[in-house]
Amino acid sequence: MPEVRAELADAVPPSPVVAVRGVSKTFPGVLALSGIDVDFYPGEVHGLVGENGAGKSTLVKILAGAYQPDSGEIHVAGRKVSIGDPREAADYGLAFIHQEPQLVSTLSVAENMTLGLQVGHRAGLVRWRNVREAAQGACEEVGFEVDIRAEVGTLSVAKRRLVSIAKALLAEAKFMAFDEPSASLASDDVDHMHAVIRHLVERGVAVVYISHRLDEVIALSSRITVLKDGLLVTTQPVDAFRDRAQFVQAIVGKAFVEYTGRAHVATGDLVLKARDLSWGNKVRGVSFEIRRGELVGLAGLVGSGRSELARLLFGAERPDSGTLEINGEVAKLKSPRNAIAANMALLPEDRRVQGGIMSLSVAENTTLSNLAPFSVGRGIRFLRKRAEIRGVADLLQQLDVRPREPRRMLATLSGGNQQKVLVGKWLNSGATIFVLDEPTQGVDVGARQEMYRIVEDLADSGAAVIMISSEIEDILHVCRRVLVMREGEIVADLNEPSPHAVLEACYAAHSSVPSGDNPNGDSAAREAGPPEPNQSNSRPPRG
Amino acid sequence: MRPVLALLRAHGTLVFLAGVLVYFAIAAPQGTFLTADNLKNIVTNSVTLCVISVGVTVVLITGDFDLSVGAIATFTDILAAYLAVTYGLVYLGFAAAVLAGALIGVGNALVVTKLKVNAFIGTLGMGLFVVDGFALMLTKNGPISTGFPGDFGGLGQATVAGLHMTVIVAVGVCVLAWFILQYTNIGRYIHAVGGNPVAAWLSGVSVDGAKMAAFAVSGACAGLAGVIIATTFLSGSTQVEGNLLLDSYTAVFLGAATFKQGRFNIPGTVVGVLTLAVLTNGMTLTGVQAYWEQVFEGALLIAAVAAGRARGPSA
Repeated sequence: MPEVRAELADAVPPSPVVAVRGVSKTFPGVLALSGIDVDFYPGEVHGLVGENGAGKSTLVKILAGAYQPDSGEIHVAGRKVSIGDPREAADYGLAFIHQEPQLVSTLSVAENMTLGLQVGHRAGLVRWRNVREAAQGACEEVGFEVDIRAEVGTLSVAKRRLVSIAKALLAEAKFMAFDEPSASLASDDVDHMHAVIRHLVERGVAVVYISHRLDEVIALSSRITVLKDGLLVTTQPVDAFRDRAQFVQAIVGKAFVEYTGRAHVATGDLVLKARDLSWGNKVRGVSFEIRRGELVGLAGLVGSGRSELARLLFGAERPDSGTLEINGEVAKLKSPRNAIAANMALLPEDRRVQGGIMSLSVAENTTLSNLAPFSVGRGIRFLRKRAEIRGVADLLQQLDVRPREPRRMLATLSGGNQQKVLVGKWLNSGATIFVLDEPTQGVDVGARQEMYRIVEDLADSGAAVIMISSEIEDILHVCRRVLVMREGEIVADLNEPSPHAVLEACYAAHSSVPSGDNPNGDSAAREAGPPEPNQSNSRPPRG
Repeated sequence: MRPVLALLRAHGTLVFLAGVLVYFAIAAPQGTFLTADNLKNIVTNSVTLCVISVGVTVVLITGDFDLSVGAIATFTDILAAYLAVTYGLVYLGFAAAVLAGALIGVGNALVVTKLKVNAFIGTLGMGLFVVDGFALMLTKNGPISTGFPGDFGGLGQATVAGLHMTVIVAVGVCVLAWFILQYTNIGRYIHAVGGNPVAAWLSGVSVDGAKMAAFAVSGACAGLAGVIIATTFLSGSTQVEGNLLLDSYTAVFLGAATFKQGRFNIPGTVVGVLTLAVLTNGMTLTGVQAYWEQVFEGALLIAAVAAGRARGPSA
């Protein structure tokens, strides 16, 4: 397949698969999209970037038939169409790969892939053998080695995404939109995903790639469109975006300074000491020490045990063996409650599921872990709501949360601001040891910078901070010391490491296997897929 | 059309209540519906349902169900009557009945939190088999309807300044529950657990504790409702409570469509209870057959739940 690249690139006629013409959409009080014109060409990846709320999702949802535009037109293959619902979008050959693939978890891979298609049907009856063959073929095409009879619910997120891609292939989609496809994937899986996308492009599919990860967008895209506040800022070939600072400026729309970490020299007292912590095969014999005012990055692939370690430290899981000392005392944490009493804080990895309570207000979320300053009494305590609102308003100001309205529902804030509120929850509880699990996940570029600042402020104020992130640049921006986890163990404790050193520690197991024969299913799948050894500099074909 | 739909979603019950009041004012025979006496009647007759619905509201806020409330009310009705007739205990018997309700609530909570039984099934089983079983045990010689001490009917029948004692008690229960939910740490935890139990737990909230409190409140409310039934009708019987369980859920879901779309809350529940009471009263006055009342109420329950669930595109 890779050989046809050049020819295909020349052969692609410049007629868009999907053309968006002057599309506008308003929601009550919000102009979500305003007069958007953009063309998506076959055989190229079109990056779609912008801060949260810029209109990326609205645009995609309009194409998917989930929203109707207020004005403007959509053309598919040169024909004006109206996409009334997702079913019609599928009929026009448009496919959408969501962060959380919309699959039926109790059905098999093959059943999911053929659901709603007439594949393998004859006279209204399902011919299972045909179904399986078709599904198998599509999976093989994307280099996805999976038992197609497996229940989808048993698969990892990465694999479920591959199922939905294979499903789109089977439906012969001409256009595929990927919404943050690399979110919560390990680097291996991301590489595979990218290889699959390059393959799709070679087949002439028009790919839309939405991501906050700018490096990925630059590496994959031929053309990039930047949206801001519902307006189209610019659509240009990728080369116009090589200058990272300019790229970010286009997205953020304001002056932008690349952040460099302040020095956090660990001279304080020992506050956290883990010795031989083990929990099943997920965390194995983990030992480390952290001092007051220290900012430590915890790197590793997804599944390396970082989040599990975070949960152990916070009392959300109980270790099988090993000890934890907090401020010099052995702490036996039976629940998060104990950990909070020991001044620990956890910002969980999934903000919506574990972090915020969307049906409560900002103030109610902020004070949940410590109502004492805003209540009186014993046992049943009476709330002093005015004091609560005032106290929370101060915190919101300190963290620069917008809008600064304690009574607002948490759900109405952007991702970055929600995350800040959840940090505020632990400032309110007086935490001195912070475990931040993917604090920048799903927040936009501007909010990411602010999160860096908040993390550093925490350390400056004397807290001990452990920051987990799957994005190495996150960690290297702010952490001098980096712990690396691999397969449940801490395999490296690095001081001012280079990205290369961190990556090497993350991946060491793979490169150390001399035969290259890896029993891991994902790696095997990669080998069956399109070749992609270190392609970060190669480009997909361009129209 | 859109603003109308939005209004119906957010405040559907208020619109409905207004419509129903106007309709019955016109349709009922002149001088029967819109009279002070009749309106007072409506309020007085809704007391039992109100008390029970307050408890149901609290459990629903935590995100669970309590389907044992009807059975608890039946049981405590019988228990209060039994203690009065057998041991001459009146007010002590009332207290014992309420406490019994609360303890059954704790039992419900243990079934749900410790045995990890789905609340729907767990509380249904608790109500249908366990509590009903005890109720039948106490009435094995038939309903208790005679031999009450003289002051037994005091709570149910006495009036203060023209208002029934029970109305005052019900108002007190509503205010207390509202205050606990809005102005105490327990109330905050109950809301948090209902919103997201994982996040609440990771914030140091005792999820089991909050559920325990909610089920205990619900049980105590149902227990009190049973006492009100006993002292109002001077009877301890398995037949008294009628459709309390279904009525209470209809009222609470109507309540969720009263002020804040899809959110259970005490003021909403009160409006829901009154709506149901007005409807029952009005249909009786206009001569609607009882079976039509039931059909109508069932449809209303479904409509109320749908109104609470249905959300606009922006949500």
